[in-house]
Amino acid sequence: MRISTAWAQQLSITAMANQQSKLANLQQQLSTGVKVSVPADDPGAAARILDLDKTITKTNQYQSNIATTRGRLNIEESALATSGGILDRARDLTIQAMNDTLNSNDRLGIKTEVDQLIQQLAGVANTQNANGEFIFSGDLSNVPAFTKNATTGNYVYQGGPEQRALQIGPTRQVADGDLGVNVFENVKSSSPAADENGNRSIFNILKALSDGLSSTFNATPAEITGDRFLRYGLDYTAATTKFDLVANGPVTAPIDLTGKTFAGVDSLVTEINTQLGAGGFSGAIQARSNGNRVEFVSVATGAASSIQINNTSGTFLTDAGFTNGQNKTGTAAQALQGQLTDVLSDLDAAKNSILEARTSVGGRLNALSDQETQNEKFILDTRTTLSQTQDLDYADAYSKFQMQTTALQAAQQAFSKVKGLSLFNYL
Amino acid sequence: MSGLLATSLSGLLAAQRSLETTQHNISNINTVGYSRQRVEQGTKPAQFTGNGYVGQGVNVTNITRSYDQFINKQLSSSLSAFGDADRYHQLATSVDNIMADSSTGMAPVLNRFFNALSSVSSDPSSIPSRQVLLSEADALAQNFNTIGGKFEEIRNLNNSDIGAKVNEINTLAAAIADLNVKIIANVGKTQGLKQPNDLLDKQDALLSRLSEMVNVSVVPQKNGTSSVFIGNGQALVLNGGAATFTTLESELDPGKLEIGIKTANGTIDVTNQISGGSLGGALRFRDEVLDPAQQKLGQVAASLAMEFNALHQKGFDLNGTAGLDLFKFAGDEVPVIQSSLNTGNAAVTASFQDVNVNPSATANLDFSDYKLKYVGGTDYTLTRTRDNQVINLTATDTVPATGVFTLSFAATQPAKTDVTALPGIDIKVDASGGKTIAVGDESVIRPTYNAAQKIGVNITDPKKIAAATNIEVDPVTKLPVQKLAGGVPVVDALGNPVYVTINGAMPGDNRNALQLADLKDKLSMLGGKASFNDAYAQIVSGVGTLTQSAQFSSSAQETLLNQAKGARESLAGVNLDEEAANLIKFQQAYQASAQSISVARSLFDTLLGAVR
Repeated sequence: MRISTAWAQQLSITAMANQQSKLANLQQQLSTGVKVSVPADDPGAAARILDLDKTITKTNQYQSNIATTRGRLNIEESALATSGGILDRARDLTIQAMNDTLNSNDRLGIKTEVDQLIQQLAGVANTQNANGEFIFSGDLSNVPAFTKNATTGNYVYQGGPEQRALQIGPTRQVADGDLGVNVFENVKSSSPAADENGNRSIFNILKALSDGLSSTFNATPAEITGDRFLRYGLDYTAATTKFDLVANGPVTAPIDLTGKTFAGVDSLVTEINTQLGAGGFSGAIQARSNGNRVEFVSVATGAASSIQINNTSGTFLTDAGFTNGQNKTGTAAQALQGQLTDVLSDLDAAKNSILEARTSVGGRLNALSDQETQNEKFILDTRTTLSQTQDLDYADAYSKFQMQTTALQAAQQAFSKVKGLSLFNYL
Repeated sequence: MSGLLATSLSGLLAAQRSLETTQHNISNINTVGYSRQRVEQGTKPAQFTGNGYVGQGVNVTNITRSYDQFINKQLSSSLSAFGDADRYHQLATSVDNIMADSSTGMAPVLNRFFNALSSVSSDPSSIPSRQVLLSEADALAQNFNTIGGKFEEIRNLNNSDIGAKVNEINTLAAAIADLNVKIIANVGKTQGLKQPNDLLDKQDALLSRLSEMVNVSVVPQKNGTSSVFIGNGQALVLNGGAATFTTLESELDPGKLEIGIKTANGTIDVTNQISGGSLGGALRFRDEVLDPAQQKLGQVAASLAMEFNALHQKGFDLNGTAGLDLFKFAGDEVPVIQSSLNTGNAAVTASFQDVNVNPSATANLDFSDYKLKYVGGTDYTLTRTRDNQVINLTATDTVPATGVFTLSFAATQPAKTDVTALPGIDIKVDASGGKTIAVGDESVIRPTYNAAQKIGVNITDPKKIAAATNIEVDPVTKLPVQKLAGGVPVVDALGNPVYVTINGAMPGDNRNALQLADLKDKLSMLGGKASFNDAYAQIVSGVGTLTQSAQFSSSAQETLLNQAKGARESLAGVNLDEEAANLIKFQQAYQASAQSISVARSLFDTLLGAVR
């Protein structure tokens, strides 16, 4: 076959250009260390790389969520430990106060310390984290968990109704704290001072201790509390809203909220108390806010009292979370020993409640560690897969590079040799 | 005796012509499209004598070029095929590179955005982490804008390239027509017996360049000219006349250039007849790579905005007010272009469906433009332009009648349709206040075409990020409290229960942020089978696959082209060694003829000497 001179040259040049482009490709792979530099290199791998990258960044985010959660749970853990210490001291003081040989002055001395303990506990319950969030306030984290009620002098939960959870794994969420209401207020109690759900607040227990030590023996009032979170108020401007409060059987106080609007639970309580005062019922019934919920209390100094709520018209009972006819009976006042005995057993229950919370925190910390290990393993596995998918096999690439270099050199030498051959040289 | 001189002279002349032609071959070794030439020699008519026929020497009968029509046809079809594959490959690579770049690709930005969301969910009250989320949302939107903009840039470049190609084709066609005229004259001079080799080579070279641009069929005529046709017989060059190509802007798709050919009866759209060559490659790239990639990117952007806006609206921000849209679109949410040929003047508007009302809106959203046409009565048709799937729509007026019609999915649909609902958009026709719509009126609705370019963040205040759900939870049952109206549970449009929400700020509530972060893995797109990341990865692998196969076919076509070129070169190319050998051969022939003249002279001398 005849070959034209120009074509022979063109062929050699094309061949060398091909070798060079392969060489350049290998050089790029060697210098970046990546074998898939554009999707066209391996479209399937390119899509897989995106997916693996996404999985790794997502899991890394879980790891940082775990670190955040751990930090918060550690703060809660130490707050709970301090609370436990406070309760231990309160228990010691109670046992000391039960000693009949003490006189009233001695008891007043103990009361001073108990009052200090109450304040200290309130301080612990209002612990803030690094962001300034109150750790026991749940989702209303900008509000102190417990503030002192001006009328009753008792610390009442002010935080939110819900504890937030953080995502620490693809399907795993962990609460990064506990609601103050569950830790400090919902202490299971069998004493007469327990509320309608059988719970008694630690602050209530300590206050009873303090009151007892100053020889104040009040009857335990009957209380009914609504279930609904009313911090941001109610609006009855366009609805007829009436209900009755019944105290100690015969006393019935009608309340009319028709046409009124309330910005918050405090203004609602003030309005109800104003109506109770105007009707002359304030000696028997009072409204107050408890944990951003409405609470009705029958007031009695010595004897047992009761309270009941009945709907007349409108939706207040539903809105505030009461059931129609909901009622509660209080207990009569007790003597010192009785009050202190109840305090002592409730303090034990409170200690248990704190311990339960600590156990739960510890459990969650363990869960965090477990998940962290799992995530780490998962990240490592995914990274391995990613590396296999996108990273270059250096040995393989380098030997290819060597081979390609040799091939190019051979092509160049052959070219110069062949170009020297011409019949014209011999003319 | 004089015969001896004449015969030698004819040899001398023939050798001279041969030497000249060899010289011509050597000189043109690097001329593009040159075919080597040969001197064809024949014996002169013999002289009859009593002794028989005496040879009278040699004649140069013709100078021919080495040419094979079959090889040339193969070369020009290979040139077209390679031009197509190579252009397509080049352009696809430019899209491929955009998708691949780890600093500009969507995937890393999407990941960072979702991580920022997750950070907000673990720290909902922190303004800095909210600010980071806003910045990442902004970066996400800007990245969509950038890539969408790059696609648009490639489209514009491709369009101007198509325009330039059309001009070049016109120039080539005119040059071929010119040459045709010259060839007719040259061939005519020899009564059609001799070919103007160099002009024919030039013609072939021009035809080759034309074949690189677009696939043409060349029909050689008896008078030596070539007629050129494209597609199914549209004449480009006929004898000395050349037609003119032109670009047309599609009215209902301004970014799309069509190819037209000017005729006496106006301009005919021949886009569908264009195949092969770099022009064919550019058109094929636009339809197969660029349009789907741009529409699919817009689909991801639009779906992301639809899903996030719907969920964000359900949440509450740091001030306790209901969430706004998180993303917005510059200008009309869904652009509608109404044809200027419409005789009615009713306004057609379209918007993305609310995912809170149509949960599968994003699943139904398709990567295509739609052509809306009024067929009469309450009937409209919506044609999905990417595959011409027709969807029947029914118009319903509002109650009481206002003349603003809402188009809904009709009860009867064409057979074999895969569509079961509106494609993620709501369409309204406003024929109120005396406005009319006429049968046959058309508009184009473009939900995804430039959604990526137009997406932006709607919120600038970090406090306005709705991380909270504010749903009240019962303290005893720990379940969300359902809203009651007159003792009956309230349900939303989809029949889901509506819960009691707290009407104020809940800074520690992260429940909506958790749900927003969960959208990362929600299979909301492509018929409910893909997450945003999956859908984006599909674009990447789709473009990658097309580029890879373009690369393969480009190199396969290159091999074929080289084979065809080799075949032509083997036949028509100049080989210097061969020419050197010829040079020696013809030199020797020349010398021999010269020698026989000298013999004739000495014979003469001998004869004269004998008489002296």
